[in-house]
Amino acid sequence: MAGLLASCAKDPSWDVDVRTPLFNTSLGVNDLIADSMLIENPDTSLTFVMDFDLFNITADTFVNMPDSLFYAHYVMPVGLTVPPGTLVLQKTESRYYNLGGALLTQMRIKSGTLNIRAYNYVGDAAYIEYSIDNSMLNGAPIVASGLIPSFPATGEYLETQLDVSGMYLDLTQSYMHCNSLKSTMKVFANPNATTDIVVNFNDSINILVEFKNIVIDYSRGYFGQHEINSISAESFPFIEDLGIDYLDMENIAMTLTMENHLGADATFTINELAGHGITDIALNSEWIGKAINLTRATENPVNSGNVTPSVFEMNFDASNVEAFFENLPDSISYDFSGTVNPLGNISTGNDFVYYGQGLRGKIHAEIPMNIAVQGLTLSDTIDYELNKSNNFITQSELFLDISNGFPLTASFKIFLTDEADNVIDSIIPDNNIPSGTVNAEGKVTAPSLTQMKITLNENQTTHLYACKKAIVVAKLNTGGISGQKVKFYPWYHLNVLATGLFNIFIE
Amino acid sequence: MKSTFVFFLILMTYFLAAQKNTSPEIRIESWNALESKTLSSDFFSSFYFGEYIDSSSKWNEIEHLKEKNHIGFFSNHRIEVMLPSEKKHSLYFSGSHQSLLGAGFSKDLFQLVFTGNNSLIGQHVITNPATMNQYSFSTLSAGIAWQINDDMKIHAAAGPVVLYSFSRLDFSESDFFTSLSADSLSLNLDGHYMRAGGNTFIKGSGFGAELGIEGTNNNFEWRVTLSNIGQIWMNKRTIDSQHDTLLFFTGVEISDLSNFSAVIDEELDNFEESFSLKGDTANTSISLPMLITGECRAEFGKLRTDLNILYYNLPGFIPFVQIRPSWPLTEGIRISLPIKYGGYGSFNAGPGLEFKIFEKLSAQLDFPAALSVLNINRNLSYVVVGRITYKITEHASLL
Repeated sequence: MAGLLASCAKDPSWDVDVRTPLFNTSLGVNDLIADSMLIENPDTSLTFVMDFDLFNITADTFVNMPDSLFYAHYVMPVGLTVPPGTLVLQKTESRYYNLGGALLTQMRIKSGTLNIRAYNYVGDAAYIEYSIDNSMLNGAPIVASGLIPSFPATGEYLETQLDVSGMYLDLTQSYMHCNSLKSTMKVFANPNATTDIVVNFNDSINILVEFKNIVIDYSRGYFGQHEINSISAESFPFIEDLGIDYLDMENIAMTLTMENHLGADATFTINELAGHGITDIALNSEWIGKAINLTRATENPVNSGNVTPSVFEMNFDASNVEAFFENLPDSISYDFSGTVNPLGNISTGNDFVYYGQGLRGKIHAEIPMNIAVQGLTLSDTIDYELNKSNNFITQSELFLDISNGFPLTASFKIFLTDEADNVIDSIIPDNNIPSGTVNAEGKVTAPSLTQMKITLNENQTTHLYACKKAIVVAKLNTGGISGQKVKFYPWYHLNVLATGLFNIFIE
Repeated sequence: MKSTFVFFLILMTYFLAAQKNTSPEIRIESWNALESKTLSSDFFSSFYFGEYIDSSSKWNEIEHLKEKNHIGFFSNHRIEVMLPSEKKHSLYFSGSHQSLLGAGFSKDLFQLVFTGNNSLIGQHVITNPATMNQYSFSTLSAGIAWQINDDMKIHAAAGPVVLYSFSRLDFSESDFFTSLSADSLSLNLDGHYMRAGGNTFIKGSGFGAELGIEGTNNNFEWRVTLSNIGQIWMNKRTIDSQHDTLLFFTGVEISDLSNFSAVIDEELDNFEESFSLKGDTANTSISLPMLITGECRAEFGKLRTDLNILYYNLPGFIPFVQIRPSWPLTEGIRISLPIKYGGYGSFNAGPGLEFKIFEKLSAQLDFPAALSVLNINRNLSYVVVGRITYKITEHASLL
C-alpha cells in the first residue's frame, strides 16, 4: 500500500479513527503526602505528621570576634645602617577586646582568614612576621609573614592573607584572663638585599592585621546577659501544597518543643503564635505569654562536642489547634522574647556553644487522616510538545477510565497554556468522579468506576498542538453527607487510565 | 534511458535487416494491466487521483473485500526480431522493458489503514498478506532460433539486464491488537524489507535468458516462451532489513509528572526506531520474476480465435488468460471481443481491433476492460494490449 501511495500522481486523503492509550497513573495517599510524613495507626488508618522548624536563634547573635586585631605605626627615632636580614623591631603585646559583655576564654575558628596589609616607607624592602602567640593551628602558633616592598621606591605595598580555619585560641592571655589575644610583630631589614640597608630618621612602617569572614566553631566562657526579641513569619507550605478549600479534622496533637543547645541558661516567653490562611488565628494556650525557664545544655566530656540540649515541650492539644489548622494556614508568625543568662555568670565562665547551635523552636503536629475535606487539589504542570506531522488531527476525544478507591469525589480541569504560561484553552468535563463506596465505618468497600469522555473540537485540538504546557487540576472532596469525616488508608488509590480517540486526517 | 534502449533495439532491427537484405520477422508487443479482483475502480480512482476518500467509500470497499486481496500493475513492452535464414538456424534478438507492481493485503489491514483501529478494538488484525513486489528493468537478449522441422521452431537467447528500481516487502506474519479497553496496543512486526538503493538511475545489473518454442498444426498455431530467467546484482546501497519486533504500548507510566515530556519523547523514539525500515545495506542479488507466455491461434472459416496466456511468478498473480475471437470486417480490418481472466484481476471483456498498416505489417489493439469502464463490473480492471507484427514467414496468417 505504501508503494502504491508513493507511485500515485497526487496524494489521496482520508481520515482514520485511532484509539490509543495515552497514560495511566495510580495515585495513593503517599502521592499527596510524602511517605515520611505519614504514620500508620493501629487500625491501619493514616496520620499526617508535620515537623516544622519555627525558629533557630544561633550563637552568633551574641558571641562574635572583633575584626580588627592589630594596627601599628612605627617611626624610626634615629637613622641607622643595618646588614640585610637584621631584626630591626620586635613588639609583643596582649590585647583585651570588648565583646559586648561576653567574657570568652576559648574559641575555635571554623573558617576565616587573617589578613595583613602593610606599607613600608623605608628606602628598601622589609620583612615582617606576625604571630598570634596564644593560638594553635596544626600544633604551632600561627605566623603570617611577608616582604613589604618600599612604597617610595615601588609604589607597592604588602597584602597577604592566611587561612585560619581550625585555629584554636586561648583567650586568657591578658590580665583579664579572657577576651584577649597575645601577638608578636617582628620587622627585619630586607633579607634579600646585597648591601647594608640605610634606615633614615623618621622612616616608618604601617601594619594592619584583621580577621575576615570568621565563623566560630566553638567558644567557651561567659556569654553575658542578652535580651532576645524575635518577631517573624515563616512560610508554612504543608497545607497550602494540598490546595484545600475546606478542611474539617479532629483529635489533632500538636507540640511546640524548645531546645536549648547553648551551654547557658535561658528564659523565654512566646508572646504570640498565629496562623495566617483563610483568616488570622492565634493559638490560645496556657503557654502563650508564660515565662519559661530553659536550663543550659550539657557537654560530656568538656570540649568533646557531645552536647545534650535541654528540652522543654509544650502541648497544645487543649488549645484551639483544630481551628488553627482548619484555617488552612500558609504562614505562621511568632513573637518570641527571652533572656540568655538571666541569672548572670552562674557557670563561672563555662558557658559554651558550638557552630550553628542556639535556641530552636519546633512544631510537631499529628493530624489523623479522619477528615472532611473540600478542594483537596492535585495539580501538576505537564510540559509537552506535539510535533505536527503531515497528518493533521481534526478532532479528538479523550477517555478517562477512573477507578476511585478514595472516599472522595473529584472534578477535573485541564488548562492548556503557551510558553509564557498564558492559558489558551481549557478542557472541563461535565461529570464528576464519584467517591468509592463507603461503609458505615467510613471505609471504602469498592472503588467507583467511571469513564469520562471529553470531546475536543478542531479548535481545541489545534490548541492542543499549539500549546506547550497542560495544567491538570483535580479537586477532591469527601463525599456523602457534607462535612462527613473519612479515614484514609494506605491501600486507597485513584487509578486513572487515559486513552485517546483521534480523528486523524491523512494526506 | 528506457527510450534510448527501445530506440537502440529498433535501430538494431533495421540494421540487421539491411545487412541481410531480407525481411526479418519482427514482433512488438505491449501488455499493460492494472487490476484487482476485489478493489473497486471507484476507490482506486479516488486513491490514485488524490481525492478525499470519505467514510462511506471506505466501508463500502471493506464490505466487498475478501480476507486476502491483491492489486497489481504490470507493463511489458517487448520486441523480438527473428532473422530469416536459408539454414535451419537463424539469429534471434529480443528486448524488453518491464514494470511490475504487486501488492497483497488483508481485509483487516485495509480496515486498519483506512479507518483506524477504533473499529478493530478487541480484534486481532491479521496482516496476511501484507506484501509488495515492485520491479522495473530492461532486458536485451541475443541467441539463435532452430527450425526443428517444417512445423516447429525453438529459440534460446541470453543477455544483459539492467534494473532501475526494485522493492520487496513481506510482513504477512505480523499482527496488530488493540485491547478492549484500549489500554494497550500491540504490534508484532515480523517480516522482510528490501529496496534497491542509491541515487544512480541504474540500481543493478545482471543477466537474463529466455527459451521459446512455436509451431503450427494444420490451421492451429501455437507459441510458448519462458523468459526472465536470470539474476540481478544490486549495488551496495541496497537496503535489506529483517524485522521481528513486538511493540507493546500501554501509554506512559507516570510516576513523575514533571518528566512526562521526556518519557513521551523516549516512547516515540522507540516506536520510530522499531518501525524504521532502514536496515543494513549490502550487495544483494535477486532473481528476475520468471515470465511464461503462451499463445495459440485457431481459425474456423472467418472466425479466428486467439488464446493468450501470461504468467509472472509473483505473489498473488494468477495466469492471465485472454480468449480473443475475431471476425474480419473488411480485408484490412478485423474486430474482436477479447475476454480475459487472471493476472491480478478477474473476468472482464471489451472490444478489440486489428488492422493492416501496409503489406506484412499489422497492428492489434485490445481493450478487455469495458465491463469495468461501464461499471458493469465494480472491480478495478484496466487492461490494454497492443501488438505490431511484421511477418514474412510461411505461417504468417494475419487477416
